[in-house]
Amino acid sequence: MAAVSSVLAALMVLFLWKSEAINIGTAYVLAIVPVALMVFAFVRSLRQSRSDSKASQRYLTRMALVMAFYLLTLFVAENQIEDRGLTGPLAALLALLPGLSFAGVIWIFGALIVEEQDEFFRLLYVRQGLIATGVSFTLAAVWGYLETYKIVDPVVAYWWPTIWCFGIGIGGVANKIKYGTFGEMR
Amino acid sequence: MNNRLKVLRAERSWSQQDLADRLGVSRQSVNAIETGRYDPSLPLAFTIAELFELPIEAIFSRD
Repeated sequence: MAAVSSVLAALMVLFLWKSEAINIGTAYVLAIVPVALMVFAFVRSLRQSRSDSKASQRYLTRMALVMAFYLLTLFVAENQIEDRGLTGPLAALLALLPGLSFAGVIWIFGALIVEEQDEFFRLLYVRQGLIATGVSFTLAAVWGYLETYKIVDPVVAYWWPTIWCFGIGIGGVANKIKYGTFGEMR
Repeated sequence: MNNRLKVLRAERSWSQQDLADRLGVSRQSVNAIETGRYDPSLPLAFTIAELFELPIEAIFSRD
């Protein structure tokens, strides 16, 4: 819950800043809130993770680093490109970075499956990944055709990997129903 | 698959966590195997058999 709150808090700060309700200095000060929430979520998750699962602990550490990278690069890209009008190759590089953090998310989830020593949990993680992929790809395909025939408005593409992350949660619920255990929900 | 894991564990007064620790797996794994929600791999089935000093077929049987 704290992890979700930290991302929502970061997006709220970003929204306040972009809507000019606060200036950049205030935004950086308020950024303490999501960072503090993320640190809290990370420490709490480490304490709650299965103590004998090194894979689960590595997963949490890596995910915290990637989320920090995502939020940092998003703020920098917004600040430099949107507000200061940066253009050219450097702008393209900055625009690439927040999206590339999703490659990190996929790698981290794959590493969790590879490194997990408990075969039952490996099964749960694989199911979660497949369910998330099924949900996000199906929604992307359906929405894409609805867009093509102008029945719905276009959606910014970064929502599909975001939905994949929610799909991991749906996969966890499916695991709980079938196997009595969620798997990885953080 | 059916299994006698719960009975064998009870005979030794082991909790699910005790058995999990001896097998090197999670407590959730033991619970899933005992309740028939999950069939263990052959290596894990051999480990279970060795722990209880029984042949695999004395622990696991077809439905």
